This record gives sequence, C-alpha cells and structure tokens, in this order.
Amino acid sequence: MNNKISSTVELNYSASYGKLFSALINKFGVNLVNEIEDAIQNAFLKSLKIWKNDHIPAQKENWLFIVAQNDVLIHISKKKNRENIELPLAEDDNKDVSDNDLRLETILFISSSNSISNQAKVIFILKNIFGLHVCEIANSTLLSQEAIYKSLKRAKSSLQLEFKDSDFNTIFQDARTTNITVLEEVLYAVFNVGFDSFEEKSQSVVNEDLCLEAISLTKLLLKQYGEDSTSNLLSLFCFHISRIPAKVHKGKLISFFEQRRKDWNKELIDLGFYYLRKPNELNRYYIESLIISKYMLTSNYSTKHWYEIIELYHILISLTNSPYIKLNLCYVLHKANQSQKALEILEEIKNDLPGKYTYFSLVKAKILKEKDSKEAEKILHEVVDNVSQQIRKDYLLEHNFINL
Amino acid sequence: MKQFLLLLHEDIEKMKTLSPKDMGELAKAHMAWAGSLSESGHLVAGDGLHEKSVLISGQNSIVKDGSFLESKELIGGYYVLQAENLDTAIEISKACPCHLWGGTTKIRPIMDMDEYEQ
Repeated sequence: MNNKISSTVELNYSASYGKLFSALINKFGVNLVNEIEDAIQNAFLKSLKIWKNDHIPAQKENWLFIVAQNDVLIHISKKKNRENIELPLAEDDNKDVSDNDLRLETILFISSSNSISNQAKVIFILKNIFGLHVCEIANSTLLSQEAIYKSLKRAKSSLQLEFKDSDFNTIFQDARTTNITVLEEVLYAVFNVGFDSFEEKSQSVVNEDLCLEAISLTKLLLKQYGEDSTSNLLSLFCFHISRIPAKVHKGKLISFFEQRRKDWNKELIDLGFYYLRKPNELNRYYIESLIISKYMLTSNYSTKHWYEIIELYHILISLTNSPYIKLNLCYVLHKANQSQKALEILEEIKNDLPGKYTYFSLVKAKILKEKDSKEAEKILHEVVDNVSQQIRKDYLLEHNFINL
Repeated sequence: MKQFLLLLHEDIEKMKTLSPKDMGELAKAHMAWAGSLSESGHLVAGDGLHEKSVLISGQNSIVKDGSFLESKELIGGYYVLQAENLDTAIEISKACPCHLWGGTTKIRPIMDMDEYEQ
C-alpha cells in the first residue's frame, strides 16, 4: 500500500460524520436535521467516486463539509422557491472542520434538551456524533433496530419542536454552564457501549474507535472546564482501556479475574492515577475509579478486599441510584458470602434494567448456581441463545456454565 | 494486451444506507484495489459517474433528461483494464470492491483492430 492510499485510510469516516453533523447543525439549525443527514451521506458517496489515489483533497474533512453544505443550500433554495418562505441561509465562512470541532458543543446542546429521555439522547448522539449505523447501535446496546429507528424519529421531532427558531449560539452558550453532568453521563454511556461491544459483524468484544472518540471528547471537556468529575471520568476510562490487550487471548475471551496482568497497559494505568483527583465534593466517577483501581492493584481477593469494595459501593449508591451499580454490588455481595442479600437486591432491580439484560442473567445465574443449579442452567441457556457473538458463546460453554 | 471495460452496477438504495464505517472501508478498498491494479500495470483508467444522465435518441436527436431511476441499480463507475485475455480480466475483476456491498460488475472486452486483421 502506498502513502497516498494510507492518507485516505487515516480518515475515520465515523468521527468525520460527527464533525460534519455538528458543524452543519450549528450552521443550519435542528429544523434541517433530516436534510443534513442526507447531505452528509451524499458527500460520503461522492468522495467514494471522486477521490483517487493521485487525487485526494488535502483537507478531506473540509472537502466533505463544503460538499454537504452545498447540498443543504440547494435544498434550502429549492424549498424557498417552492414555498416562498424564508429559511436560514448559511454564512459563507467556511471554517476548517478539522480545526473547528463542534462535537462537544453539539452533545452539550442535545444534553440540554428537556423533551427527550437520556436513553434517546445517547442513541441520537451515537448515531449523529459518533457516526454509528442503526444496526451497529442495535448490536451494541441490545435494543431492537425498530426501537432505535423510533427513538431517533421521536428525538428529531422533539428537538425540532423544542428548539424551533432558537438562536444556536445562545443555546450552545447556555448549555455549556448547565449540562456538564449530563454530558459526562452520555460520554460514559458511549464509552460503555464501545467497551463492551456485542457487535455481530465485527465479532470484536471492544469497539476501540468508539472508546477512543469518547476519551478524546472527555479530554476536550476537561481541558475546557477542568471539572474534578471529568478528570475522574477520564481516570476511569484509562483504567478500563488499559485492560483491552488482555481481554482476548488466542482468540478467546478472558474474564477480568483470569486476565494476564502483564498484558495490561502500564502507561494507561499510570494515566488513570494521574487523572484520579480527590474532589471537594464526592462524585460517582471518583468512587468508580477507586473501585476499579483497587481491583487492579490487589493481589489477593480476600474477604477483607470484598468488604472494602462493598463499602465503596454503598458510597456510590448514595451518589447515584443506578440499577447497574446495584447489579455490580450484587456480584460483590455474593463474593463476600452475602448471596441472600444479593438475591434480594436483584429482585428489587429486575424491572429497572432492560429485558433479558445479559449481565443481570449472568450475575443471577452465578449466585443461584450453588442454591438452585437447574434454575441457573435455565437462565444461562437463555443467555447463550440471545448472545450473537461466537466468542462470548464459547466463553460461556468453555467455562462449564452450561452442562451440554 | 487487450483492454476491457469494467462497468460497476451499484445498488444505489443500499449504498445510501451504508454506515460511515462501511463507507470508510469501501473507500479504502477501492483505493487499495486501484493502487494494486496500477502497480501491476492492469489499470488504464477509472472514474465514478454521476447519477444524472441524458438520453439522446433518433435521427432528430431527441434529448430526454432523466436519471433512469426506475432501476435501483445504476452504473456508478467504470474501470478500463488491460490484461492478457478475458480469463485474466475476470480473475482481476472478481476482487473489485463493488461486489462487497451488493454491487454487480460487467466486463465488456474493448474491440481491437488487431483481432480482425490476423
């Protein structure tokens, strides 16, 4: 492969999608969201046909932006002629999209919405800022494609209604000061989607691109606002991604406790500690980062270790009432020989989690294994049937979770 | 060496629903394929084509505007290849990235005076 080819390969189309979407939505407003989506898709198609090895634009993202922007302008002009109405026209300042990344501002803006749920925000952001296809979102989140299409359609209508005729600069400005917490939650959700990918096509258990994009935007957020919570979120991300090299060994999925620690990335662990900040006011990411660092540092998973982790989980639950955190606590309680308590909490949270949630089933089966092995096996059979990735099926079968 | 026209029939509806990631992979695949053809000396030319087309017909040269979108497949691009014979051209063309995303290719040997003079 020659250098000219690799310069095209360097362009991450998914990240570019988010940059183009953000720049265009900032310019034309949310009323034209459908036209903007079509224009970006058309610009990508044109790049496929026009770019050649010896003829690639120097500023690829800028080229795509100008092509997409012109597409939207043509649409506006046709609509004006047809309906004789005034529509916003873009200013002709073609800032370089690569240098003027508005993804963070756009996520802040979407996060500021009062009319759509947090799940709908995450889906909308995964599609339009992180450039994921609906089927990729479905595979990563375990939601159906139909549910995602509906969510996106509703989110677009709601955003159009809520921000109709709004001044985008003002929205962006206001969003900055009030929605960092929501934005952190969204980035965390996006990271988790990437870190635990169920994507059937790639069969990869981690979508590294998505994790890295979430991290780069979190770094940008930290640089701009310097919040302790953002630093701790970044710390948490670093601890997690440091284990990516150890998650799969010789084509097999390796659980946290079985991973070869020498495969963990030392520099990223150091970076995790670098970003870990003791905050004036406790935040969930600080505690979560403490928990994961404790797991990664200890050489002995003694009862004392599990009790210390339980303590941290209780603090965490006082900060956030997330059923996912409670689910993790259940596993820890089981390890600390408090299975009955764990089963009670599982019963409390079962309706707060998505139906057939894989980790809920796995934790429940693990706890029930000694008490009611038939029920545990029944649950695990369902999990194996629902998991589409072969590497995950193999893991469950090879670890004797199921007697065939 | 003989020359061959390779027409790329693309499923336009499918192309419009490709994810950005798939688009990136398709761009990368086309670049790599064209690059390898160029290095091996099989590539003569190649371009993408607009969806828009114009039909001119009959003695009166009647011009009809239209993209002929009644078919969901249209010719989205072409390559001109050179190879020893049709079999080699077929083997080369099998690797065309157009096939990866539901497209079809058609090979048309370009007529050559030499074939008829021997």
